[in-house]
Amino acid sequence: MKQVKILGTGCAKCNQLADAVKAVISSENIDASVEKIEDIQKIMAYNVLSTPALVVDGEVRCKGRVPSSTELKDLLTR
Amino acid sequence: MKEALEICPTTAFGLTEKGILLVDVREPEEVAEASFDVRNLMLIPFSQLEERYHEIPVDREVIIACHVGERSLMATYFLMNHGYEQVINMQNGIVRWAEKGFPMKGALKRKTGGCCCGSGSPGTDGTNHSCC
Repeated sequence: MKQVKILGTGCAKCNQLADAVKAVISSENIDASVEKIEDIQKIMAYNVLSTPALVVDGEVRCKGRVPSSTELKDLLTR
Repeated sequence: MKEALEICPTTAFGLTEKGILLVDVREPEEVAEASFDVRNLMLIPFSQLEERYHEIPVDREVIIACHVGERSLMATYFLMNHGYEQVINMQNGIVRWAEKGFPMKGALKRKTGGCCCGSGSPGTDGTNHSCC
């Protein structure tokens, strides 16, 4: 199972990314758990200044924007 | 990860009076509206921090500040991750600084903070609905 984390302090874009990730996981039947990380200290453990950020299995795969569904599918399955 | 050292604006003001460096990470349009009036001030916008953090001295105490203390806390951790051991976050930002009546140039018009998304600018209407 993939461990997916959404890093963001709770702004609109962060919530957009979380919703988009959940939608792609559902539509593509990806075996994954999704966790939102809003605590700044925990976010900065990944040393990410631009949020929202997408972390898959411990790797930051996207930061500072909300990717398209097509790109998200790639980011979540690669 | 070690927890960031944080101080309130009153403590920060006292330290700036003694000459500590204050690094303001708000964006230029925010600074143009209102800025800290302290002896030692450095402006490095949050959106440029990854490229410019080397300008911040590593061998002395520095206070990081922004609008409400969120971006500055991220910046503080970012600097800690890059070996800065004497970096301090100022909680509640220039908004609380202004409320306390500490020295400023200009006047704050907006109460919401800049964007946590890194690209940075708060909404011009002060509501900032699109972010943070």
